[in-house]
Amino acid sequence: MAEIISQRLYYYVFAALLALTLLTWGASYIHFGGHLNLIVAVTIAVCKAGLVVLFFMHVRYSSRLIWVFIGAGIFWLALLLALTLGDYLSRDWLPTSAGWQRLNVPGYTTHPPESRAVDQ
Amino acid sequence: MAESRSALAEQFDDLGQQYHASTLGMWTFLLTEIMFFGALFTAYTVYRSAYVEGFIAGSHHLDVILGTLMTAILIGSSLTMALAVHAAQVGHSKRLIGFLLLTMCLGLVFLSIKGYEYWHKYHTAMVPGVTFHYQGPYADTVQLFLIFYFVMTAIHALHMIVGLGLQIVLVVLARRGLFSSAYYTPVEIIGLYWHFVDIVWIFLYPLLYLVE
Repeated sequence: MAEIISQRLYYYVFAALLALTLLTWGASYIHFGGHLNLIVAVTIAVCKAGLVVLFFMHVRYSSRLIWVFIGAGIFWLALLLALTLGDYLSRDWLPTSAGWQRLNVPGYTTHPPESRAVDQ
Repeated sequence: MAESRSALAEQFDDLGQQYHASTLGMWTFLLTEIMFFGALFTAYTVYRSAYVEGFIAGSHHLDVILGTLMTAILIGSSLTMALAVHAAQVGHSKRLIGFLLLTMCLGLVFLSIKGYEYWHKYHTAMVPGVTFHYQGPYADTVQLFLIFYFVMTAIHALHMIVGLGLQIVLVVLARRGLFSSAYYTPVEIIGLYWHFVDIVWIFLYPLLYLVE
């Protein structure tokens, strides 16, 4: 059966999660510029999720088979994000024909986004 | 010992094997949930990258203090759930029930604040598809942001309501004395589910409330 983790460790993890929540809240008031705010916020969220998975969900003490399953989940999620964003974010790297631009598909930033929304 | 025997399904050799099969099965279910929420997060990222200004303007219409408070409450409920599993592991049935009830209370407080937020959005006419009268700049993409807000938080809240229902079942079973230090598998796997729902919120909080 599962290993019994000391209750004190759960309280430490809880305190760390609260501290990271305050950190991400505070960081949102600092303007890092570019996509850096998003990257900081998501990095902190990944750290928090890691703490929950490793300790609250006992994965640190679980069998290697559980690790393989979770690794598969992260891998498929990464595929979903990488392939989808690889398409959308690279669309205006090449010139597109006027006909395509009229479709108002996100990723075509030939026009400023808001003027596209109003065009509809 | 009689209790342990009734808890063992016939296809398993022993309770340990049953425990490992059940947790692996729960993780498999959670992987399908990762892909389910993953699709929403991917769609969110695509539209946010295309309409940054509208997402920032939309996010400023959410209450950051309430969002932070809800995050703290949900993390607290994850702590009490972890302590409930711990109580089950050491065979302390009274503490197990106590921590489960505490977890449910925190879950209900979270849902109440969420309900207040929805009510507030309804009264300020910022619910796309129901009542939406927004005059500010980027009205179209603010509406798009709010659609993501409502769909993602509503599906998250639905998962919490399912989790609360499962915990009611756990409390009933615990009161009947079904769980012991030798058999607490249902407590463990419903705990896994509750922590997963917490993780989804850990990502929703910065993506919805803290857009800069």
